[in-house]
Amino acid sequence: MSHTAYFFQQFINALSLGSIYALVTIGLAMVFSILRLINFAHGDLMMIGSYSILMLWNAGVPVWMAILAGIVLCGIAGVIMERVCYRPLRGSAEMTTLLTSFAVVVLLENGVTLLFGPNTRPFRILNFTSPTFSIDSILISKIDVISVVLTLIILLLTTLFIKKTTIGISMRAVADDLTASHLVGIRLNRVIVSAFFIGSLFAGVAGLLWSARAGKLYPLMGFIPVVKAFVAAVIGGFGSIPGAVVGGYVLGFAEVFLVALLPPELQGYRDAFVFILLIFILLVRPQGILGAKTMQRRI
Amino acid sequence: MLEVTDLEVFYGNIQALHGISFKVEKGETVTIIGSNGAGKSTTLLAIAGLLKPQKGEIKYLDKHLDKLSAYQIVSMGISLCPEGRRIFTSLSVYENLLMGAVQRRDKKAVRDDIHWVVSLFPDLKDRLEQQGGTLSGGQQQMLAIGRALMSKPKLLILDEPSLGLSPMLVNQIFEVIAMLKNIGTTVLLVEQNARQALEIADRGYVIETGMITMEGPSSVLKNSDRVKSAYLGG
Repeated sequence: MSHTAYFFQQFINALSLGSIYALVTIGLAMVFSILRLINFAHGDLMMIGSYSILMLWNAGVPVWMAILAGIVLCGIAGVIMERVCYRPLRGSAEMTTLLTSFAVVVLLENGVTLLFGPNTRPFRILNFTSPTFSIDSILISKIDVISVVLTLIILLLTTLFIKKTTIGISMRAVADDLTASHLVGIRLNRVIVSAFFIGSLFAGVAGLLWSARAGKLYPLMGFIPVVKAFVAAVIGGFGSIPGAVVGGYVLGFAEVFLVALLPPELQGYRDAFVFILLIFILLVRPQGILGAKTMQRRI
Repeated sequence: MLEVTDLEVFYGNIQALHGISFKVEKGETVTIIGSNGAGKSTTLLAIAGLLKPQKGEIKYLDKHLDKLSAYQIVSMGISLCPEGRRIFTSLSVYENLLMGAVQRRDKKAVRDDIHWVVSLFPDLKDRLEQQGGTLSGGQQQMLAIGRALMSKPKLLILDEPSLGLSPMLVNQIFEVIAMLKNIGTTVLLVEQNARQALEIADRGYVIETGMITMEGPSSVLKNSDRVKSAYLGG
């Protein structure tokens, strides 16, 4: 493989991985911007989505129906999570809700382990990893094309949503000034539920892509992506949706090219380098690339 | 229209309001004057549903507001333009105005009302796409009042609309309040700028350390020695 071809191959990989990170991070950022809650259980929504799709498919539901239903179920799971776990704690300290999110992680991961067992299951629907086409020895798999195209469509729709719809503008208003949002008559619960629903739908899509990429799923599969999304959110500026997208892609590219450029004996430390990057950004530019200078406390 | 009786509000252990009573009749412009920390904003936030009173009642059009959420109070026709403006700094001017009408479903009329607000405050005309945070203090105050008007309130509450503005801008703001009064809007105006507030209002209340200490028609208050020495500069 030529040098250019190798570079291009890695570029596609990075774009594809970055797309998934961006999708997960948007959900994390949406909820954070409104509630100042870092929902670490967001990764488990990916897991719930993937399990739902697989279980529906195993039960004989046509594959596209299973995918659609699984993603919608994921959205509903996010809404239930807010209602049951976070709403009763509305107004409590950020540390309390953060710790609660870890409790939700433990609950969901162990719950799914109890229900479906701890084993890794193959996730091979639609032959997602098979190459669709190749240009000059570069292989581009279906999953790469789907990840990138789907993410671009979702980003476009998200932009329209937050710019043009009343509920989308309300989300930005609540993130901007909670008191003023109350005073103009925004129904906070509607905005919060919408953020959880939409973020969880995206987590469902990301879960599908993540499992399809890996060709497998398991109860703890949400852990790594949510930690990565946390890093991406910090890179982009926590709570900013454009920042989430930028952070997702920066992280995707950083990871892929770290592995490509590092000597083979250091490649195993990829994630360590990612976290060094996190520490570096927290030290140098804690507000992230697109984050505002100051972050006020609210709710 | 609005009747507040024996209102008591605490911040933690500190009592901010010691039994406030006042009322606003339909079509009236009523002012509450008082110095910093007297409890003016606290009273207004309790009416708007952002602070829960420990005692007393707030009745509006014969319904109790005390147990309602802020958005329900807005839907009943009360709009508070808060102290310090609190516009959405990262939203455009247009979006700020849209958020003022967030509960309305008559999209076309909302657009007409945005034109109306812009006609009240021509300064905003060429800035509809600008971010709220980039406006000057005076423009932000205009936007805050405009946003409060966008819900088509039956009762408009203004908290210190003249605070920190140049005399010219203060005049401009008071001209708009006079205009709103003329078209029949009920206004509750809270001000440190007692002179102009009493000039425009029908009746007034004086609030001191969480209590109403004087009340009466503006013409009477304006000429009272106590008000003169404490709030009108002698």
